[in-house]
Amino acid sequence: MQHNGTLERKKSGDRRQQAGNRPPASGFRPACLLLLLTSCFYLGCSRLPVLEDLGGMSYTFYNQDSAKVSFPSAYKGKIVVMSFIYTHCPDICPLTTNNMQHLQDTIAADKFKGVKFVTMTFDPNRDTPSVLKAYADIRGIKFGDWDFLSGSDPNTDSVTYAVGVRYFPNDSTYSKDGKLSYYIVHTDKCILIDRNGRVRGEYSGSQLDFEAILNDIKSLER
Amino acid sequence: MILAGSQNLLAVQNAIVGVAAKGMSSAAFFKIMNNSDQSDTLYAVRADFAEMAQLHVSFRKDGLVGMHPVKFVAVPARSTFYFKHGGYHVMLMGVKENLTAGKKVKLELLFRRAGTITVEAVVKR
Repeated sequence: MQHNGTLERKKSGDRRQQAGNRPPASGFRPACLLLLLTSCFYLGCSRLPVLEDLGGMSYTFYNQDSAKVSFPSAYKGKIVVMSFIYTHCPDICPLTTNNMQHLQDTIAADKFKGVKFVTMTFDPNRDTPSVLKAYADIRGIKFGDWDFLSGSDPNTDSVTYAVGVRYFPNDSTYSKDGKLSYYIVHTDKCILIDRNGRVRGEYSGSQLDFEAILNDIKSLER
Repeated sequence: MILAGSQNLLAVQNAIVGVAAKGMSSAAFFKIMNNSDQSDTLYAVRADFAEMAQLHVSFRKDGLVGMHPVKFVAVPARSTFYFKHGGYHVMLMGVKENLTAGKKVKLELLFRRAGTITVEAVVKR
């Protein structure tokens, strides 16, 4: 697997690094709390920790209409729900896509605004923009606020590596005409990205906890 | 071959196939009820609407999911065996037509004892 781009993990903002931390016992605590509350009031805050900051990235992808999309800057100012699939997956990935559709419908019914859906393929050689479009069309997906992204292998690797999505080819089968078809073992994950390109939540894609992700979206909306 | 989805004491019910665009992959799910006193084995599936149909099982381990082919599935006597999401399914590669929701397709399930059972599956999202 290749990786390009610079991926600097902000350890201070990573909840996995914070486990067990205790605030320093000092007289500055009330002042710090006041500063935090003031910052929250002016900047907006959420109970959700920052898991990864993608803001420094800039990778080119193509959506289902073959339009160029710069990730993640194209979505700056939007709350993004993002999933990772490959279209040859007949079992798990369709569940993830179904869950995203259900979430999109729920969000539309609740009149949330500014939420964008993104599905990225980790099998870009087979999942070209036209294949992704056909995959989405047959499912009746509403494209207005949903992009299906395909990009180069290095760009795909860079983004998926940063957000902790792993994948590798596994079993394969030859069809009657000798064409090789392979399956991919992959992470079952979708993520929530805030308006500044920071990952704020991780969920199972195929077993999505709707209540949890809706609460987290509401938390980011405040 | 019969079309009712059952033969003797073996029945196949609730067959569904996932939506898929022409040329893509899909999967079939159903339940097999073996009401006989003998176990049976599903060893192949035929689907004229796909280039290839294989028995597969999905797995989940350490946060990763995947699938692999299996040669057969044993259905014990007096039991119900489910082909369902996240577990056993029929992998359908290269569907020959658009499988849109509501469409109906035929599957032939080949059992060692019960022979061939043909079922009608509804395409669902």
